[in-house]
Amino acid sequence: MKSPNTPSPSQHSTGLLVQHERFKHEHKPQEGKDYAWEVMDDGHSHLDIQNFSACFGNPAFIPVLTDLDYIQYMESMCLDLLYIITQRINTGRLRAEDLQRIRITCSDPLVLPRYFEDLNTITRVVHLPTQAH
Amino acid sequence: MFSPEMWNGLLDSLQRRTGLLTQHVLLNHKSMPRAGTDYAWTVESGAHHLDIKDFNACFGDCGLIHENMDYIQYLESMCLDLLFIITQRMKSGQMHAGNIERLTIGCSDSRAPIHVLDDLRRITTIMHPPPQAQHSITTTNTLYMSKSQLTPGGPHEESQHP
Repeated sequence: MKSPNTPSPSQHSTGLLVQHERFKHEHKPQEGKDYAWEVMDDGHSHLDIQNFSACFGNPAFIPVLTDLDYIQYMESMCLDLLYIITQRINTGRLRAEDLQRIRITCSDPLVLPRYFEDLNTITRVVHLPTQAH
Repeated sequence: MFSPEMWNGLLDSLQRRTGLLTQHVLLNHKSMPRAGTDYAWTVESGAHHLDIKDFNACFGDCGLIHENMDYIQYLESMCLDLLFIITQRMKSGQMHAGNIERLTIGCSDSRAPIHVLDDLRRITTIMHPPPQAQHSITTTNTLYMSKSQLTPGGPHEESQHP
């Protein structure tokens, strides 16, 4: 581990999640009500989004009129997911290595699957290294 | 140059909705990933493909990350970096939101840490409906219809709502 005085390599490069938390989460998604987090016997974590609007904001009330509005909504979804995971890490119940064994579902029927599909598409980076000759 | 007041006003206006991507770009991208050098975007028969050619240039070096929070912040930054690249494409009119469904993203940089890419995908993949609900969906037959099941003239997306 690095010493406490060593600057975090990421502090200068992001920190926007903290701002997002401060400015966007007047109504914070509540564990047990808006989402559920379950840890299985084998150590796997399961996050279930039970109330889409409470976790990500209601798309019906957010003007998603243009392409850039839609990208901003995707951005917000990413940060909302990371917000929930961060709360878990902050309370010592999740470690970075546990992310290998996490599964996320949404049991709220009042959502459009397109949002999940597009979010998945823009964050699924497939590692395809060029073949060395 | 912006005065402190102008700068604060700019940030305030950016923060009204999310605007964090714009802040991310303003604050973190002194060296912006460059199309053609750090990443390549190709379009073939309407299918878009983004290739990350230089992982570090696009996402930053993750070699110094040691703590849980650092790692989460790094994943956060990766999300915003990907959205930054896509946003540039949209702003130049070369892509629309509707094209996202025909987008694939690859990374041809052999130095890329695979576990980081895997973790990013894992924390942003939301299964809907959850697997345990599959049975009830089959039996009810009207709830949860995926977009691929919708056909022109068929049920509207709203029909998936009970």
